[in-house]
Amino acid sequence: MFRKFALIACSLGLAAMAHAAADPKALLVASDAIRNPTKSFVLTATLIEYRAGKQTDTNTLAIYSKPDPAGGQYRTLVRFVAPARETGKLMLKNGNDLWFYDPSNQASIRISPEQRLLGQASNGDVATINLARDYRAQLTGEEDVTDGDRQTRHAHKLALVATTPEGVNYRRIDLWLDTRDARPVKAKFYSDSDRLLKTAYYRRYRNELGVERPTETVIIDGLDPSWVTVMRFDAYAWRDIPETWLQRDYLSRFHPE
Amino acid sequence: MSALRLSGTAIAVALACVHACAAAQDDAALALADAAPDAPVAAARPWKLNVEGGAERSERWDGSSATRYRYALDGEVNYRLAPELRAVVGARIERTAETLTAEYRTRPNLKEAYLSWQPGAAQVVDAGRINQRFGVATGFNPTDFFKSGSVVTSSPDPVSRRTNRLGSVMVQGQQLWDSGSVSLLLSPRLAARREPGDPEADDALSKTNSINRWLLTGSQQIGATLRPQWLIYREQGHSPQFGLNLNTLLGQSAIVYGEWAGGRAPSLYALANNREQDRRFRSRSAVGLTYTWPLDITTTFEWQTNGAGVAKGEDLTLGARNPLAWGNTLAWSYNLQEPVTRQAFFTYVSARNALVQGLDLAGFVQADRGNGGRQAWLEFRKRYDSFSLSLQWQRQRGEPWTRFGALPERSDVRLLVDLYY
Repeated sequence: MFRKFALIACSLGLAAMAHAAADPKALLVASDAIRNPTKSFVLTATLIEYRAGKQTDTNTLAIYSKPDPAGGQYRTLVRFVAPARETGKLMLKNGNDLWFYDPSNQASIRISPEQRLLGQASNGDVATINLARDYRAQLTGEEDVTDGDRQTRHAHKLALVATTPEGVNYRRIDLWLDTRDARPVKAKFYSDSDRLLKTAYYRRYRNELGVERPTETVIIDGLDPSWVTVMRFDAYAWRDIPETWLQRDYLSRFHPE
Repeated sequence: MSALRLSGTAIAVALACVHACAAAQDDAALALADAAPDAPVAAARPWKLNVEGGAERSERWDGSSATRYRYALDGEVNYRLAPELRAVVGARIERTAETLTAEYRTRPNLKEAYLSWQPGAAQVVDAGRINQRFGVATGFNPTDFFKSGSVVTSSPDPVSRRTNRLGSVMVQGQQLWDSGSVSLLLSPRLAARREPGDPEADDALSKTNSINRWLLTGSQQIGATLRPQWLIYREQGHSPQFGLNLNTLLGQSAIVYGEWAGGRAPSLYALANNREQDRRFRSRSAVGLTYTWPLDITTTFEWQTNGAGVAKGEDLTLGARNPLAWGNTLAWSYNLQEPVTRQAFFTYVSARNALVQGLDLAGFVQADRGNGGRQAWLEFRKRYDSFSLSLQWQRQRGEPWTRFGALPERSDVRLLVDLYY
């Protein structure tokens, strides 16, 4: 009973924030809170990649995320679960400090944010990111958009510009948030040269860890729209993550149990 | 006026078409997602097994050629015996033959076998045969002190050489904190005494535990993207060697790195020929830049130095004066995985999904400065979910007194299949 009450109160709170004079910063914070649990958690992500309508790759990842109380951003440890050739590999992301660990040669290698470990999804896409921390938001209007379920949604359109362009994957983002509750509906991500890199639809909303969250993101390549990645999130759970897990020297020691 | 109105209408129609086209493309993508199957969530398991099979054809310097067939089982178990205790075993069994029907030669290698006790989140103690690898560089790792003589593959690929090697028997303790760690390892002599990297070492313990040695390492995060690692290493009867590993990010695409080791040591020639009279402070280093280009292409350029190597022209002189002693020197340099010249250059290229989806390309050129010795290697690997196919090509160039010219083969082509379980 108390849980149900808390859920309703939480939803009402998010909706109130969304409507409160449509402050773009508050809207962005509210949508971040919908996408990301506010405490340490773990989930499983399945990435299915399509080229020209055919499935070309599948990866399963276990993602451990912990908010950094100092910086307000998340630190993320990604464990590759499937396919078999990738099993046991790890990626650690703390801002732009990125490390890749391969258990076969026990090497922890620093990688750059531009280096991709997966197909279309960037390392930043699989990591947990608070957009409100890295982007300045401007409300550019309200419009009807088609959501991931092909329903028309009335949405705030936010124009996000990176506050420190060298620290993020995308220089600017257009983000559509449902006017009723600040749920992310759709986003467009742009490069430094203002080229559309990808479009993302947030869908399959489900109650996870106390909040209705999108459990699927459909990513469409900006240059080749037939290149599609479906990211499905499952098995959400609160998980205490020790600080020592989130540093390079622990990668060879990490075991999922 | 009407022309202007007409062009305005045309632009509006064109924009509407673009918008409709984009909507149709998004709709098609969402339809794919609708049909995407719900894959069962795979559970972590304590073992991994690779089966490798293939054939290689090599060409010798005199133009003759040879074929070799090979298959290998490579497995690893990392099993939790108790909440704080794990057992780790990694082994590779490789069988090779000159023809498919000939008798196969079997080479079993126990790469690792140790117990790991972790009484808390920040303390770990390991004991057994452990593979310890150090270094941030790609082609030459001067701080990877346990690499000498431990490699059990003929592949020149630096990734393969780091993977396929024997661990040393040791005890090590590590203390971690939020932003760094310190560790101490002790590796005892368990076989007749000889210098690490001696080509005459034939059994596993002789290759890895022929001398008492210890290593102290420490690392600490400094700022957002700087994490140096310091090392002090000592072999019984020799001077301590000091090491430093450092790398950092430049922008979004570049990583610059440096690796250095130094201490009083003999030259490579003296070490290989038991001539101890030229001990002095010598440095080894590798400095490089890795840059990621669009389309998942990554290039690395690395400058390597070896203070124990020979100066320009010295290899020709030594080779002419005493071919046997110089041959020993080349064999030692191969086993130590060190350049034989004072300076060398290494470049590495890799590309994911090159030309077609799932096709990876990797290759390098190692060039020794001053004697024209070169080695080039190229791999095409097609990835599938449970297996991969790869075609590897390797070629050496150089006079017989250079480390690549002294290798028995001039070129080599391999076709391999790897099955993953």
